[in-house]
Amino acid sequence: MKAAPARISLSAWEARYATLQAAGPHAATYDGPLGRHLVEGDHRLATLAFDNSVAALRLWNFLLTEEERLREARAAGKKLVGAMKDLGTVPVLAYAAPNVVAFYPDGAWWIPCIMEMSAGLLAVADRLGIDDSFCPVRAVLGAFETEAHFPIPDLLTCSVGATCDDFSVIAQRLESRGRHILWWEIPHRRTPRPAEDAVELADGVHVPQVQLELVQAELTRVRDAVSELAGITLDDALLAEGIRVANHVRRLLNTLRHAVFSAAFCPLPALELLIAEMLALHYCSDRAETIAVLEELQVEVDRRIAEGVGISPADTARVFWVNPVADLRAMNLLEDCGARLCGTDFMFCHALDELDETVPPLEALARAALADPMAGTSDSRALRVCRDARRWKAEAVVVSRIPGASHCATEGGRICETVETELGLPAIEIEVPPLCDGLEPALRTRLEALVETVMERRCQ
Amino acid sequence: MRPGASNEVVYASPYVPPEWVAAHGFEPRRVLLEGSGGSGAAMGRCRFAQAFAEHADASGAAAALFATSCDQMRRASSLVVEDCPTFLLNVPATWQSATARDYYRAELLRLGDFLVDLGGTVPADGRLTETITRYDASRRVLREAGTLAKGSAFAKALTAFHRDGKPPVLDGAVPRGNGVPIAFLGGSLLAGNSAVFELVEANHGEVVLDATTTGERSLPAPIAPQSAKDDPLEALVHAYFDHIPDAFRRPNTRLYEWFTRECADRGVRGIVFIYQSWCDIWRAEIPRMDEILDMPLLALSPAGSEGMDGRITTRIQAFLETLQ
Repeated sequence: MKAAPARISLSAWEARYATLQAAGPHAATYDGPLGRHLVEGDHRLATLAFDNSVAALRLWNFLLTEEERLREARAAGKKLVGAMKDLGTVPVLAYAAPNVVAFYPDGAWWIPCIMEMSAGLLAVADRLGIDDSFCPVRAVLGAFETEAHFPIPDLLTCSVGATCDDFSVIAQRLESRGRHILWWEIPHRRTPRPAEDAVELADGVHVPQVQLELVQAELTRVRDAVSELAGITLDDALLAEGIRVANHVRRLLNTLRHAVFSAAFCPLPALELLIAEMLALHYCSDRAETIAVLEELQVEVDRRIAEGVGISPADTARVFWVNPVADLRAMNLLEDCGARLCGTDFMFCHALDELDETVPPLEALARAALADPMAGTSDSRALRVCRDARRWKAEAVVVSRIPGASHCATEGGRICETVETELGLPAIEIEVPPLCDGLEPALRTRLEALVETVMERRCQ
Repeated sequence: MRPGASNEVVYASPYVPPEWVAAHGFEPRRVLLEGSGGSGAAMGRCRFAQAFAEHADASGAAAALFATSCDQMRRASSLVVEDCPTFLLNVPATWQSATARDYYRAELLRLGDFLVDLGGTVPADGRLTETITRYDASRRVLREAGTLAKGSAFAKALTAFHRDGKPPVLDGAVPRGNGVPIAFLGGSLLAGNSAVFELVEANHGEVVLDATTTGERSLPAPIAPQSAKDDPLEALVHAYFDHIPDAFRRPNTRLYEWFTRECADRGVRGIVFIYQSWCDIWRAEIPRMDEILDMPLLALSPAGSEGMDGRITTRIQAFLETLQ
């Protein structure tokens, strides 16, 4: 049952779901009304605006039922790997083992938002001495302490080195609470010296061979640990197959992103696009279903583009967004202010780049890890933002600061300066806390001012 | 080397071996920084990292060496806006694999290449060994003096040694008294923070262990003459990478092992924990220290160079009264 594209409230979705059910149930086993998640404690849903497509409903249900999938996986005898910080590398490796499911405990950083603080995770972090001067990802500590939001992984890994200090200290605090962590080094990515052996990464950046070898050696340790956990040898054939599937997911996402960013009418809201991109990280604990969810989204987006319809007018301001938001509501706010997404860097753009299938699998994964924007300089990240903003004809850039995060103290300003210098586009920094209701008037004013700037520039 | 620059190479990380810089023909200067007067703190920027970037800009040095031991310092290297050449030394956070250790060694070699490109010289046979031996002898004198001198005097001697690498002069320094034995712990101090030592001593405390990053915790291990002769670069890797415990290492268990042992050896009864605003790496250790060390701990985040305000003074007085 197709409806004109729109962003609708949770209550409107409840009514629409009833209508859809009358027409026949959806095939996905986790199907159901969105309102059930509200009843289970996901209070933020009541204030969000959702895309009204069946594909989006499936996406949301898939996202919000991950905990159940993880518990089912454990009950089925599968081993759980908790990958922390690397965003997109270790899960590719872990899913190559047929009896392993990997996920990011880091994702707990959205629990204070989704549950509107009712889970008390930040309060637990406070009690452990990690207060609100640290990044909201400190909710991870609360999730491990309460053991109420995901099953405790059988193996915990964490990349460290060229990472944000906040996550590094939070993971160390976690280890001090008795959670053993396999730390692996990701070095600060540097420019090769003129005569130095170097390799080109998927995003065109070159790294010294010596750094690639270091990361490859580190990932070999991770592979060995996963192999031991799984009780199988994760050989190159298995890893290559894992990479092949990862690339399939990444291709689906890149097709989707390009369609959304380049369509005349925005065919998918910012919030749903953010969630779709997140699927690249660890497949929301189900690789096959991730593919199905993305394919259905693509069908919906293609249909909307073919019909020339979207969720906002054609002249909506085109905005490139940098960094994930602690409060999902901020993505709604962008559209409420008359803008649409035309490019993103949610801190894991390297997890969207296809892995190189022509080199040995561990080398391909090492290359991907080194392409992490957080491993390089703020300037190299800014240049990629500029490249992608230019590609999708963005008219402005929003850098969303993460409260307390060490990287945000420096990089936001650098990115804004580079965007203004290289592209001549307006760029602003905003800060989004886990619940932004109290700041919404200020955020709205800044976003509206940015949109007005874009409109004024069009007139010039 | 850029015109007008001095022969000095400035740095702030204890993982930069000054012997390595000196053997390449430069004068290593580990600086004690004044606090930043800029708007960095308001942006969430670490005061120390901001101050070092500003120092690099203003120093007229041949080069400034940054290290990746924290995200803030790693990113601060991009804040240098003048034409001072910068080098970012990758210091692995992990230490339990041979890979990480080898990488640190490779980074020292890369630093050497940088210094040669800057106009330095490749250390001739024996030069590195001789330099290591000289520095090691100075540190030995420093350590011995540190067991007798007051904490404030030892801190000054350490600063002087970091500045010029020469044997410390502690003649005339007031000997250690019988105050309450206190350990200082934390990250790098700013120049103004040294007043905390004097405040402790003025309130019947005795600083018997300076485990801040500017203190004795960050001194490398003594280097055996034979090691310096056989493989001087390996001797540096061992003395610095294998030995210096720090909060950023993962896991950072060695910091706790070392600190617990030193506190026990010196009869420490209280800890003054000093961290800079927005220094996540050290601030996050406060609750763990509280859990692991069974003794009173006072956490302070003093302002940079403005000296000690009434807030800090009152807290130190109250802390020491509690311990007496």
